[in-house]
Amino acid sequence: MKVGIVGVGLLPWKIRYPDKTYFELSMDAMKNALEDANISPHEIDNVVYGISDLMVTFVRQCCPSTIIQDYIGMSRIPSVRVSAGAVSGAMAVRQGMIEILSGMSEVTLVIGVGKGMDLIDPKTGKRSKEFLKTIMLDLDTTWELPVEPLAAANFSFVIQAHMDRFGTPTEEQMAKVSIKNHGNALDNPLAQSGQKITIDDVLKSRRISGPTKFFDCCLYSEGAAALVLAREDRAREISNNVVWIEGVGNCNYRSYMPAYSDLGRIPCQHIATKKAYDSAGIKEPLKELDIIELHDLISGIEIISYEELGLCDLGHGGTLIDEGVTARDGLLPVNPSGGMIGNGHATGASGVSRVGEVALQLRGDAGKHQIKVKHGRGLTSCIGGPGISQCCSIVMGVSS
Amino acid sequence: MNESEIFEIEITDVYNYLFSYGGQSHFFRNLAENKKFSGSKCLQCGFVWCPPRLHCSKCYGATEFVDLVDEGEIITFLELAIPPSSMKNFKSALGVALIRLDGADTCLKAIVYSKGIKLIPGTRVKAKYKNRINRISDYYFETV
Repeated sequence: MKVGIVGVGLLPWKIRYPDKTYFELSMDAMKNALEDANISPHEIDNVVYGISDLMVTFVRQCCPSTIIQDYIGMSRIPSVRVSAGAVSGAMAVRQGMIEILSGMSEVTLVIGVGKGMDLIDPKTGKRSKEFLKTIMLDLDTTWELPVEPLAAANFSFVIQAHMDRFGTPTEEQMAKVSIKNHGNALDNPLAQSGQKITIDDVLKSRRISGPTKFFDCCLYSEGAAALVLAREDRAREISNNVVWIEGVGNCNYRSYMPAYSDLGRIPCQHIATKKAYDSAGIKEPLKELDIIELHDLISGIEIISYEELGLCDLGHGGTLIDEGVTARDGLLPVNPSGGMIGNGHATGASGVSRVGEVALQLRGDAGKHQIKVKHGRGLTSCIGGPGISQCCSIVMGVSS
Repeated sequence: MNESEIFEIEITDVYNYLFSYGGQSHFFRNLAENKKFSGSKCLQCGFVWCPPRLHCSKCYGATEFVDLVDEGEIITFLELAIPPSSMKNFKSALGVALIRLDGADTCLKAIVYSKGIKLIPGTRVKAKYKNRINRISDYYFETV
């Protein structure tokens, strides 16, 4: 038995939605997904939420999934919430698949939502320091938080260690990823941060920590995304353009303290993606996949991800960006939607929208940023907190 | 909805904690009282955890606390353009590093005053202490 994605509902990424609460955003995303699937809300028998713990502080509400469940008119049916930092959304898709395969559901709605920009200092009118303080709670609060100024420093550590070990990525290679993803976002009407920039713009932008500069980073946003997953027989009834989940892997790795062999790597991504590839029978991803949407929290992390996803040998990820392999018109486009750098990032929403983007691409429904689909297969790989300790990778395909 | 129709209110929440370090308390007490770092050594496999763990996460054996010297090597060093809030008044160039104290099998994350030099893996560093030790930002390292 297989599980298929039959509906995708994405919303525009915005710095702030002052006119919408998190449950109102969830409703908008759900309605888009149900309309895409052409089914009524009554055909949903289960809901899985990808909502990070950060939302407790962001929206001053514990158990936000209960508030959403009532608002979207689903109080009659079961639901569960998954929290895994920035991976919450992708983990929710995995959980939704599991609930269908277990026999507990036929049609599951997956919602990822993130909203945090009400944390504004009324004196300055700008984002308050409490916003970043909340994000920092994703770090180990005893052994990391007191000595790190920003969450970005945590990811910069991995990039710096990779540079120490392999000599890459260079800051120019990191800049090329930033240019690619900001540029790809220009053709994505939902993206927040599409812009044309140069290597010089990136290299001269404000330094954040180590090799990481302002344009290397994604911006925090608000948003929501929803998917409709269905059991194979129901999926075939609902849609003639199903995107099947062909392989899933996840990993919840150690806390920050690395074993020395881990230095500069993202072990959870390697482990999770290998599981996903093995389930899906993928042996040479560069030759067998059409698209990858991954978490490019910082540009250098995308380059290291190329290695962990098996697209090249360790230490050679920079070559792929240098040679245009991962450009939108390259051999294997990575983040043709713009990724997080181009779109924005809201925990919970990011992971669900990355899966949704791959599904739309494989269906040929991605609009102006559509890539050429040759093999009918794609990968989402979402990594996140604390630091880069968790990963969920999902292989999708349109074969019958 | 028009911007003029949005209704917003100011809210400030303050949470006071008496935060317990639990089984990790010995690490902070030994630093506060004796200016000594502690690790925990597994009685079964011999792995030395620093920061210490009451239980060995590798073999589930019991551990005992051991004193460690306050000197070690940098594993990875990250220059910081923005200091953490605990260090914002300090004027010298600093970074944050993964440091393996001599005798430990894992690393600490700690502030290092680099004096503007990019520190490479393997650089030897030694701890210095603030008067009062409550958190890991109350000690820092300098090159030897």
